[in-house]
Amino acid sequence: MKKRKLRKKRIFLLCLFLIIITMVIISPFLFINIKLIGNKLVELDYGEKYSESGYKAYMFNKEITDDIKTTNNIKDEIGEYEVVYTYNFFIYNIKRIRNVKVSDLSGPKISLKGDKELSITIGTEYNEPGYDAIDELDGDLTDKVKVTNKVDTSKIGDYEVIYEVKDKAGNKTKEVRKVKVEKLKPYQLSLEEYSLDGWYDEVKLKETTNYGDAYFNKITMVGDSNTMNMYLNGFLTGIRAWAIPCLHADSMHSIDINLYGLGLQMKLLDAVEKYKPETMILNFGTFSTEWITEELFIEKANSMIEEIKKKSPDTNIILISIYPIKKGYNINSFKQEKINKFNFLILEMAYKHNLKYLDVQEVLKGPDGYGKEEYFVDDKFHFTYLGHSIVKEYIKTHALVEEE
Amino acid sequence: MKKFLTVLMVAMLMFVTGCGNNDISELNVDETKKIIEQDLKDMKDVSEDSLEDVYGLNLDLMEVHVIKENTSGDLYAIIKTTDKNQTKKDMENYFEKVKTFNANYSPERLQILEDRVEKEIGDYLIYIVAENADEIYENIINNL
Repeated sequence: MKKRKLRKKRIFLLCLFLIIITMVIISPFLFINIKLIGNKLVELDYGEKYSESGYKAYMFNKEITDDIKTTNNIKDEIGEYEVVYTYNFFIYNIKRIRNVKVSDLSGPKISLKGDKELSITIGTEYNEPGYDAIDELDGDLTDKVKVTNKVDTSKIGDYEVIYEVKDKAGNKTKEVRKVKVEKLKPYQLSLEEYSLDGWYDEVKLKETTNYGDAYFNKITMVGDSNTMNMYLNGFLTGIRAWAIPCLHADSMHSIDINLYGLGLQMKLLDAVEKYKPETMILNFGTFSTEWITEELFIEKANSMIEEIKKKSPDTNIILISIYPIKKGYNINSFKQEKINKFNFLILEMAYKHNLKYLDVQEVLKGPDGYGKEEYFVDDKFHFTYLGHSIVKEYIKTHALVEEE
Repeated sequence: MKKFLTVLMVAMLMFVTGCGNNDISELNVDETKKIIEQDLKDMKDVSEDSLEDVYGLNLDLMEVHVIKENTSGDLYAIIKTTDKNQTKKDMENYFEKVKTFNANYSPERLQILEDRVEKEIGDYLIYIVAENADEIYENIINNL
């Protein structure tokens, strides 16, 4: 009996000893706690950089975060990697691991050449501007792009060209180009057929009753030699004729113009700021069509409008069409076709800037699409007295007023 | 004796389990906002219209989104998303557009944008654009 008890006691002591030894060995693992902030498994797209979300470490309640060493074996390749957080405590290396998986999660990038939104004219061909598809892993996949083109150029409407491609990992990418099939632009028609009817009609000043001189005398007209002549021929008075010969959309930013009636010369924008006209009819000048490029015209005319709005926000700006020319040779090589195109651009600008447009060119032309013989002098682009009268009459009968 | 040993082993197991490494992957959004806004002042929400129409973010993917900026160019975002990969790409594009729309950024400001904090805590993505972005992130994790 005694022997048995003794044996039990020995076994008990042995167990206790083993437990104490075990505790000593594993205690660092129990009392040192490395907590990972964020996910234990981080999934990265190929090419994406690993960003450490952080960690905290404690021994009992004491923070030992600063004593943690981190290492990782992450490479810029598809694969599975580890970030190892280590705390060295005597002979122990306490570790925690965060797994990082780099895989191909993104589809190829399709780049469309040309505009993503295109307008083409009815009856013309749709010419694909091109595209390319590059995958970070698979390289150039342009040849694998499936293009679905449902553009019907015989019908006016909105269409889409769809570009689709997938990489070896099965990631798909889709791009869409919007194509609008439109009616012919006015300047694509013959001179005889040219008309701005049906284009941005909401910004055009419509025919009104004749508001007479009471209305006309409030208007400041800005323009080139035709505006100057309007003053010199007695159609404009006071400070309301701001003009200089050969004015165009670029030069009007920098040159001094005449403020007739005041005997002053100053830059247009300075005059706008100083006198803040109630209503201004802005003519970009016939020379805009010959002396500067279309691109520069668009840039400078748009910026002039914006500057005038800034200098005098309450001024009503009316854009007037560039006047037509009479048929035949003119010393400045003005071309009616170009004037027609620029007038369409001016109409578009009026629409874009929420301004009004005075389509006076329509009444100055004959059936051949050129300026009427009787409205122009021999140089083919300056008005006769009658021409000035027609312009003035048109302004008075297409007034900027709210009519019932 | 056997009973005693069994009880001892179970107790040890519980002890070991109880002292396990509990990771931190939960984020208190309101608390995080407060921590960030202790450093970044006058933060205003970027409107949803701007986020979608101007910056092209897909808000439908975002269960939670807080995206705020101030006039100094500081910005932060806390986003919980159903498609992390897509939202990360959207945010890359977002920052590219911020750069484009602020062409007058000084080189220093541009560098701050480039050095932004981009972190993941659990289901959340965190972005901080500020001079002391790293410090602010430290404050966030110290308060977790």
